Amino acid sequence: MAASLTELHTVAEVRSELSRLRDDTGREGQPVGRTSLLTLVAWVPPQWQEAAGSTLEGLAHEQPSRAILLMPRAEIAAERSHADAPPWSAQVTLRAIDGAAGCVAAEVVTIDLARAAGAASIVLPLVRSDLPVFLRWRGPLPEDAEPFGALLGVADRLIIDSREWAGPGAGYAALRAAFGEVAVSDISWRRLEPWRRAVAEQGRPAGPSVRMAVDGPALEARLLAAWLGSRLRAHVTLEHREDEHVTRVAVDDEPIRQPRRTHRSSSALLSGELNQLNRDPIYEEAACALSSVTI
Amino acid sequence: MTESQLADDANPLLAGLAGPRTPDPCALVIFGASGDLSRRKLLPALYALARNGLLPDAFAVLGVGRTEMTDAGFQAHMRGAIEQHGRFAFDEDVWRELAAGMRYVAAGLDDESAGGPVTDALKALERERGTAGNRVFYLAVPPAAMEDVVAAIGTWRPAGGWRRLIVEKPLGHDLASARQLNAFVLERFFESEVFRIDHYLGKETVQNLAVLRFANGIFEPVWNRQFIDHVQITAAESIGIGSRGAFYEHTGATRDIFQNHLLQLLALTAMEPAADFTADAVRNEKVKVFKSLDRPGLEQLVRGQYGPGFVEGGEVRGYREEEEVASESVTETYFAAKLYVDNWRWAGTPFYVRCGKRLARQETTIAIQFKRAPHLPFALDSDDDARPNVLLIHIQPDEGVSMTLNAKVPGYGVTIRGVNMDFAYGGAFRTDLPEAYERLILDALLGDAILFTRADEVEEQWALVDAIRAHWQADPDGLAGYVAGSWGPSNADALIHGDNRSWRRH
Repeated sequence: MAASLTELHTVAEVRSELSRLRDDTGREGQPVGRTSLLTLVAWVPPQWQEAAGSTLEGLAHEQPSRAILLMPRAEIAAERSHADAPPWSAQVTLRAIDGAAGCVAAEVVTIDLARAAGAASIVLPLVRSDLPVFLRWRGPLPEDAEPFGALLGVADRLIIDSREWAGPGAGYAALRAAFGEVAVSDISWRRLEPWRRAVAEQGRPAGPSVRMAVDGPALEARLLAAWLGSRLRAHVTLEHREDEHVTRVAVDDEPIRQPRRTHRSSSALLSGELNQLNRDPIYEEAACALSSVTI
Repeated sequence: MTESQLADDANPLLAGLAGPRTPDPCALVIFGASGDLSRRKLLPALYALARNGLLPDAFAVLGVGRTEMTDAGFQAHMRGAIEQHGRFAFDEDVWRELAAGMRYVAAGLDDESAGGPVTDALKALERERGTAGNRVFYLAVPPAAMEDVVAAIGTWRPAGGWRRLIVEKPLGHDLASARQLNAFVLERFFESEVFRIDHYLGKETVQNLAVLRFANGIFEPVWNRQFIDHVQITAAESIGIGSRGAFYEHTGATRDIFQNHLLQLLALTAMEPAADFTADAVRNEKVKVFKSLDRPGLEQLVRGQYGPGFVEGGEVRGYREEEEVASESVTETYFAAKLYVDNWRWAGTPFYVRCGKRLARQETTIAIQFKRAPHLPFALDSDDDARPNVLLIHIQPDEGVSMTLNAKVPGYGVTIRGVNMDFAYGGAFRTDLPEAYERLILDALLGDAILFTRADEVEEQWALVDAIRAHWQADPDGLAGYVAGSWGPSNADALIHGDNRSWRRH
């Protein structure tokens, strides 16, 4: 792995450092391939940095493209309180990953932000041309527009994990607004897929209202119920018991066959979302129907 | 209930849940289960499918072989095979689930009464596992045993369930025997029930060839005689015949590789776009290519046999010194041909194909060489400085696609060099590529025959091989020697040099 030794403060410095590291890495052994699929922009507040680091580590092996990590850091803002201080600093690391097909580069640009405003203006010149840009937003979506709105303007797809949200508050309002602008993925929605399939295979419940019981994380339970209601155009009453993962589902008191257990790392889940480019209207309908679920 | 049945019910809950295709409940019966193919390929492939959640919940494997083994012995044997040859770390949970439905019967099927123990075990397993009478028979048996097995299982048509038959090459040794075998099989199975494996078709890059051609607007307009100078298809192996001397003596490179793998690659390269990507639509187009292939004259053919030499630094013996090979053998270990596809798209465009053992290195590629730029407005020492563009499709190893372009060398003058743009599958998509057998077994369980060959394809392929071999019978002294570790006999070079072209060197 090659990494920049100095702090970088301009986009030109970052780009120059990326080129230099790529050349150096190539000289160490075989040439580094540059096949790229995408740019991943990740908004990573401090409490998510450890989780984001391990996800990215695995992701580099599956989707060796350019990742731009935006780290909003309040303490940096305090340190840089004088007017001339640079608003951001960056580090570049480049991992040459050996594989059966040779060596490819996974580029990671880590940007410490003293202020959130203007983040999109750093990202825009650094994204790979003509390739999709995915915005992974860690934690709840903000109520205020910046920098979420501007970063969303750069992205083709927004990826969230509603399991990271404390509850179905204002985040869903921001999410519903995003539906009109970009495609959206929710990693929790993907986790629910085996259960959704199992419920579908059970057959369609009769009647205008449905009772659903779910043991699992609160938002996932609610999302599952909202999906059922939106697909059936029915009113759903949810009985929820908290659990770490969804472990039990029943519809109108009929237990749903537990789907086969699958082990998918956070990297694999994110990688799966990075292969999705189209809008998911089923998810969008379900997310919009969350408030109609009675608990 | 299958996904398609659910969709038929217009279940709104199913919308957006396309996901991975999962086969119907079924039992897979492997004949030759104690053999090398089962150990090295079939069971590791089944394990990979199980690990990825692609097998149905109600699934069973019944191994049938001549080796005496108990169920537990078979399971232990297959566990060892998966641990040794599987591409994933061994997971006890996945194995436990797969092994729970795994049984073994020691039996041959060379007389009518021998089927009893197999059908008894199969029925018991079907009841236990709930596989609904759906059966897939996999014939991993030597060619001599194929008809006996087909004759026996041809009568086992379950009530209510479906059945499928997977067969491995060689499917005959000439047109007459292929026709006879097809007729024998088709008296007992419908064509739609027969899945003839050519494992090259399970490779990711071979499938990508169709995507490359038909999902990219830039290629198809130039994929014809107007823009393509010629095509080279190479299937080179550095290994020798190993312990297969007796088999290879009666086969040779033409029957072993050209008749199936090379001709399939040629057909996929040359075929017209199918109306849709379904089995019969694609196979119809491939058959049209085979029917359009001009019968080559003797001057378009080269056959050779390797002598002693060095391969990858090691000294190796010549073919005639290999075990179970006759000292005066005239079996070809190398074959090259210049073929023409006589249709509007390809008229006059040569397809140079070659395959062989003990060549310089292992590599299977399709090279599409475009015509040179018609005029070079640069002051160059030679027009040769600007090389023709080549689109190179790597089948194995290092699956991927590369394109050579001409670029200006940085500096004050104009110097042109060819540069490669590489798309390596493993570089862009880091997920491990599925083994060919994983994809093919899954497709057979699903009933999707697009990657399998049809009876008429096989017969067309043999018809061409028969025409080639007829020349050789008239020219018994035409076998050329080549040094092991080289790129084949010198007259193969002459074949292409005569057209002012040359084989790709790597």
